Amino acid sequence: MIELFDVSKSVAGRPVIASATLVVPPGRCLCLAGPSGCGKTTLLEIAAGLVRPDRGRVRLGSPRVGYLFQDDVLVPWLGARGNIAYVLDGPARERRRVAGEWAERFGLPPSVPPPSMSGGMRRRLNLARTFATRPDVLLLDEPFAFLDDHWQEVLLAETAAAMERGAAVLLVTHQTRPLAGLDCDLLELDRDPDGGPVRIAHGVGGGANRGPGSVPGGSARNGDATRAAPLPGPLSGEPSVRPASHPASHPGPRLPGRLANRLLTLFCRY
Amino acid sequence: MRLRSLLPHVVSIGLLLGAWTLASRALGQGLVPPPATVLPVLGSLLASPPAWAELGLTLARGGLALALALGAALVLGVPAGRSATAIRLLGPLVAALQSCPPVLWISLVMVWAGTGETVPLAVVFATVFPPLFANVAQGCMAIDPRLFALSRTYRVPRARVLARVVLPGVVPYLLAGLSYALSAAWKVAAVAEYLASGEGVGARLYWAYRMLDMPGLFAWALVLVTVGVGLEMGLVARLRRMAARFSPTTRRSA
Repeated sequence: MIELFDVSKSVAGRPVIASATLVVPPGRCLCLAGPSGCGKTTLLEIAAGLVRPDRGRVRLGSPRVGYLFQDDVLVPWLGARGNIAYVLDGPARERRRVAGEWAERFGLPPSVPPPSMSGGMRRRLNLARTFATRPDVLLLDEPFAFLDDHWQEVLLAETAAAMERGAAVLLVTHQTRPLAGLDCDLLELDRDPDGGPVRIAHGVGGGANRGPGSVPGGSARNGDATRAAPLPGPLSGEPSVRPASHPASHPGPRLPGRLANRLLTLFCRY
Repeated sequence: MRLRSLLPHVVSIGLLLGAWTLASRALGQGLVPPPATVLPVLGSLLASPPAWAELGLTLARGGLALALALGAALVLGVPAGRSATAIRLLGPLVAALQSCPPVLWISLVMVWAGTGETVPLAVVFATVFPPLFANVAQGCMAIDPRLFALSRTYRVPRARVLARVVLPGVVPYLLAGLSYALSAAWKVAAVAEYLASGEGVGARLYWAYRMLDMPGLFAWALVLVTVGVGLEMGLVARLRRMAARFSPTTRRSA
């Protein structure tokens, strides 16, 4: 569950977010797409608790947050495995083992430090780390950047699997094409013709109640995406059972979704 | 290759011995005892356990004070470096402390604590702590703040943040500070002993001077210089190389 209620934020005297209210129930995904500089990243940072909003409330249903930062945020002197293990819970040996599996899954040599990696590898390391904690709240900032088709599919599969597990996903991007493979509510933030703040109202929540801009999930690519290798098990040692997920057939939580179906208003000064 | 690396030492020692012999000829053996007189004295010093004890004592004092300063610099420098306000507020104070000459500390500590063990320890500490503190704080400040944001988002335990992010980030700065502090600690320990202690290399130097035991004075001076050079060329040079290996250009992720 991700809840932002009437959140506003100004940066250096310039209002970035005038008022944003949004709810992403467990197992659902909300995608904000729009031009750069309209406060998408700030909104995610507020949701993650990294930036304090000037006004409004933020509530996350779980402390288990996976945040894919827009830029690479990697510990430069730790290898791929070390970087993943850094954010995991549990005893050191177990963290190392799980981190090694995630590194392998994303095609990353375990001991190579980020400065010696290619840009694509660094991006994949950020991704692997985001999903390795099995988050209940997923915040993805430009997740498709620097990824080729194959890794975009892996990313979509991981996101779909996280949603299947009950994770609430808030995603911001300017590349909406890859989203066809994901069951998510798409909210386009457009530039206002008058140059003033942009107002977007959109219902968020249950699958039945999608706004006009949403992308219906369940294209042929879902099948491909879910064919990815099984995830490494969680740290507790609980067996990793993953039913073949099909986001399109996933009903989504209706009742709480309806109740939480609030108006999202984003003033986006450009 | 081996010969080539020895050459600078041979040249330096040769020049030193030459100038020393000339000075001895010019000023008289009473004022400047020639190497031929001093080296046997040095030899007998090196053969006597008490002399080694004095040397060990000075090294131990310098080392202990350095270790204490290092610990204090880490404990105080890391939190200070995390706060831009603290750095800004403490900057002038650290600069002032750094500009205090060791003799000031020596006089103060002698008044407060009397002569003895405290003086060399306290004075070495007071001399090397400010630069070490400043370096640790600076190193901490240079760590990418996004790594702390990452740690907060993923609720990484504090101890792990310290061990995996803060300390490795501080290391190059710490090594640079340590290479200065190491040679400073040795010199300042000797000065403190000279002025305020009955034992140690500095104190032996003082007594040789008081007794006008010129060969002894020269012999102890040689000990002082040799250990100083050994520290500089052995440890300090190694620390500098390590610091260069950890330098930000090789550590920064794009």
